[in-house]
Amino acid sequence: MQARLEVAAIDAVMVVFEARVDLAINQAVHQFAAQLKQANPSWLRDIVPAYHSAMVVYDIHQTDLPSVTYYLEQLLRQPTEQHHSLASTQHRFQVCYEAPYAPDMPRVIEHTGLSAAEIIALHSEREYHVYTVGFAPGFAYLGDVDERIQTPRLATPRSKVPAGSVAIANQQTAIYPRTSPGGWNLIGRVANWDMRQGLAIQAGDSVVFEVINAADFAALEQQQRPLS
Amino acid sequence: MSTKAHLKIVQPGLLATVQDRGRFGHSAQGVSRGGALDERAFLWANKLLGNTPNASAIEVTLGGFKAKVLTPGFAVVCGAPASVNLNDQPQPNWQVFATAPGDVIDILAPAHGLRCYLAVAGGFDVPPTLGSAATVVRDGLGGLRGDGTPLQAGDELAKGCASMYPAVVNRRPKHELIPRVSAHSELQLPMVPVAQFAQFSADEQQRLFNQAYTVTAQQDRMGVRLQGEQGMHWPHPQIISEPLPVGAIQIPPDGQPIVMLNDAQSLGGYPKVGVLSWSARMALAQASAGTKVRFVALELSHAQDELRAAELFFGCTG
Repeated sequence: MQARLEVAAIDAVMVVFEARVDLAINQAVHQFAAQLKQANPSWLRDIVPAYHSAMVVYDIHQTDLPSVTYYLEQLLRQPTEQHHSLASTQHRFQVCYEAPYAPDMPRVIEHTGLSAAEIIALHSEREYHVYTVGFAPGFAYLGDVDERIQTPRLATPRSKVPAGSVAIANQQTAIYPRTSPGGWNLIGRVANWDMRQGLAIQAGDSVVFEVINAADFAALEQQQRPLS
Repeated sequence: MSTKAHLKIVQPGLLATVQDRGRFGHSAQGVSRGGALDERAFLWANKLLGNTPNASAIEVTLGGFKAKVLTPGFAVVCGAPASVNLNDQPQPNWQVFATAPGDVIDILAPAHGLRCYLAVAGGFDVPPTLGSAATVVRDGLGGLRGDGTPLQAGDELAKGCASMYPAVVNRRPKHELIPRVSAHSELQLPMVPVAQFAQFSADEQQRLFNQAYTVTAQQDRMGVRLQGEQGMHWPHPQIISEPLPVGAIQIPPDGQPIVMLNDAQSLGGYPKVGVLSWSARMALAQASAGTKVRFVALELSHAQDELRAAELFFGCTG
């Protein structure tokens, strides 16, 4: 897949693929990131993959822009096996989609014209791809949400979204890793959520939601949480 | 009280946080870099004390800070020109002083500038979170408790073992090496044009350099909003969120630049026109509301030369 390089910062270049939010393009980004990580040139300081781009931070004491550009262009030209699976992890979370954990379910019902049961089924039947992680530590942008349940962000964001909330905004879904402000539609809550679970999610991984009822949620929450 | 405690916070002021150079290598997990905003002043403080460059220090925002010394040691205050008192006696900043149990250190509101760094010989012993002690409030990471909370009255910090050389009383940089914090004159901010700069029209590009901007009160450790007479118009559709480097100059829909500082989020969805040079970022981190600034284009190679020289000078390579 075609990509171009541009200066991103004093010590970083941006590798930019075609400007679309698209699964194949995003997979190319992660493929590239994995290749670079594996090659692990001594000057590589950091790599940050996003939707259609990845920022590569280099050590200016070891190399310079022309050398990095040449290296990355060579790497991008290397044929990659399309079906070569990346070492990605599947993360499974148990989610209660019932009140009081789904305050925006009525909004999603109204917007989509579907029943709560249909929305829950459509949201939980997919394996989601992690496009990128950003905005906050462990905040993974998951997609794509079934078109039938896509719902726009709230006009006014909430000042406090509880940690572990499962939310949707248009074609994306996410888990809020910690209590924070947020404008996505809250339709569930992960049982026994721990922020470190969010930090374990890498771009390119996949996420699956399992439906549990309120009684199971309460029972799981009763269990001893891992020591923090 | 812990017998190991070296310093007790009596009064943290507006915002006092434990900082080091920051949390590197975790941007892909959405973690902000954090770290001392005026990294140059922070590195000077450690250098003067003979500490390793990454030793933890306290970033004091707008003074109002008071701490009590519990065990013998050495300290220094670098950064904005604030009055420092040791037991109510004036103590020059940018100069190492000895401290004894019972001593009280006051850092008053700076005459101009925003941030001071209080460092002690050996650094503070703060357990790292994701490899760094840097406090990032919005990420809930780092600091004394590891959860991003700023320092509070009553907090006690132990001395670390980040000494490379013994501290020497009265050690200070040569006068000409102390960075001046701009008070009235227009601040020049060298920046390297990057990312979407070329996609703005020539007129818009000119506007960025031709007008002076004013630093607004809408600023914190995440970023600084600037206000110019005319906004910059982005003629294309919204961009897809991209990784956001520290120092990036973003142009939101109102056309007024936001310069990202250390606690910025790792992804940004606004077009970017440039990235500040290292020293420009240090200068902006000390620019109070009302300061006039002007962007000046800088070649990447010059910006790299400056950063390389600074990192070599302070011994923080590799």
